[in-house]
Amino acid sequence: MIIRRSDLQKIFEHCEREYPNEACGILSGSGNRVDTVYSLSNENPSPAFYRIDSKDHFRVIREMREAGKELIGIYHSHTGSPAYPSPTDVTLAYYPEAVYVIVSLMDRKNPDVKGYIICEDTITEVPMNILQDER
Amino acid sequence: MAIKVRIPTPLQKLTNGQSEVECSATNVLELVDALEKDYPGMKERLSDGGKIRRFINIYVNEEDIRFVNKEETALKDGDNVSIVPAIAGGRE
Repeated sequence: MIIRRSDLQKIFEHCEREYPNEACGILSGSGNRVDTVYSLSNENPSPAFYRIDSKDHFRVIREMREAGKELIGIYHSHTGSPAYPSPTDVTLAYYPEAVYVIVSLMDRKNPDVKGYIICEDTITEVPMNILQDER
Repeated sequence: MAIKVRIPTPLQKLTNGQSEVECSATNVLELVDALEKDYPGMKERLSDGGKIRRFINIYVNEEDIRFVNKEETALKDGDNVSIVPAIAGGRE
């Protein structure tokens, strides 16, 4: 997955803002390159669970469709565990075509971020290529 | 005029790759039965014991049925139904 540093920073800021609850959002784009970060509401705010608010989810799907973009990633934070999919993450991974981006805030000053494809209970890490922003 | 139903990618293997299908029903439970008739396997994926599965969002036009009348949410010809798996997870 290719993501601009400023977009990654937006994700980190959202995760920090929601702390100690989990933050969540959608990444849209084309191919494997992120164009837009949608920082969305956690329908059931909790330090251990997230579900993207269904109204937000519907709105973003429509916006992406109208813009000709695809859902290429889903992000959420783990506020007290590593950046690795939990059993719940794997059970509820209904989007095998998306990269699941997990931000760990175990060290809040230095968030860790990793990306995974989760398909039929198999977890495969994918590299996160961070682009410096154009000046 | 029938009801248009958007099918999410993971379920399109049951609809021969179609992302949108049409059917007739007067409420969401009937819709699930109608989908099952045309596309066997759909009912088990969408519901359990007569209830829509917890992590399946169903929208009638733009409204999430959980906030309308759940499985009893009324449908009429011309409605647009979207089936969208929830995006959820966490460390619990």
